Amino acid sequence: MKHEDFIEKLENLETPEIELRGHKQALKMVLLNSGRFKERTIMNWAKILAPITAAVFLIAVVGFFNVIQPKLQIAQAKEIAMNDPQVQELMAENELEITEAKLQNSEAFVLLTPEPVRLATFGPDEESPPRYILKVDLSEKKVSEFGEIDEDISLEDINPEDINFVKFGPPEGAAPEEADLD
Amino acid sequence: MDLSEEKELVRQAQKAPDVFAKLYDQYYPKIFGYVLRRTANLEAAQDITSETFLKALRKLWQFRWRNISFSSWLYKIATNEINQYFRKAGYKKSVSLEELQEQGFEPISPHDPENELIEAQEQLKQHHDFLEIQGKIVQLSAKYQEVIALRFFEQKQIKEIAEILGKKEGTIKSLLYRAVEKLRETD
Repeated sequence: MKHEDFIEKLENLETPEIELRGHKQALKMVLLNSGRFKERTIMNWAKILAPITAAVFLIAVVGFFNVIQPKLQIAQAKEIAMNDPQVQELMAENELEITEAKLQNSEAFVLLTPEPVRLATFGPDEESPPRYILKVDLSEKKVSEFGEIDEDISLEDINPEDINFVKFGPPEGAAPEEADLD
Repeated sequence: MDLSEEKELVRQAQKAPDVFAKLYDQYYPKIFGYVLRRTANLEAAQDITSETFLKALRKLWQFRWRNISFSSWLYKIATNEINQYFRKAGYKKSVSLEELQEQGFEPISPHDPENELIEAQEQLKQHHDFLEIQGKIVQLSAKYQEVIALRFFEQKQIKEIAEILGKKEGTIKSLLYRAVEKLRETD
């Protein structure tokens, strides 16, 4: 038989078209009940949990920026004030202590008030001991300005805009800014 | 359905059993028929078809990275399974329907599998010409068996055969020519 004739024979060959419906049905059930789709169910759970996780994460982020971070910044402001040599000098001279700190409009303020021992020994006719409010630059990590207040008042009741702030001068012995060193 | 639509359907099938069921209903007869025509053995055809679909389901997520149609992908898996069947005496299945049934799974089927198999075997025996030539085809090497079966039993175009076997169209043409010649020599 020639090549072409043999090809024709193959092309015209009647082939079996048999179906095993029982096997088809059984295999289908096995496939659909296999663990593959159960795993997908876990994936569906993951999809459900994803927005919840995102929400919790968002709450955590918001919580950090609104609660934890301000507290950290207040603590940082107090620490900066405590470590500032000029503040230390001011506190020592006037027997003051840091009693409060707050954040307002991205600025940190620290209140220095007389120590309780000092207040207790004050006579009624004596001049009221000085109180100071410090403006702390958190980015520069330094006390930038200070102001004096007369009243015994909480930092919460003080509007920093009403305070006449004065820049802290350079520490003793330090060269003034833009000083001609020649 | 173009390739991107098919990929989307397969993507959905990974999550949705009903979508997978549609694909299965569409392709089961083709794959079972192909395996049966390659092996001329109903038991082997059942096992190999089962293995093909179980593997396809397991690797469904890989399909989107393959630049072939879903049909070709299934034929490719089935072809590999058939070759494995011919290579080994005693085809090793990763999982069988019987094993799944032993694990407690009872498929509900209105068909009596034993009677159905007996009837199918009777039907198969009636295809004398086919069985005669099929008996000669299985004597050829796997590469010739594949191209002859896909071209003449499955009526696949050269391009599709190339896609299934992962070979160039020119290679398929030349393989097909040599396969026909080898088979003609035995006729």
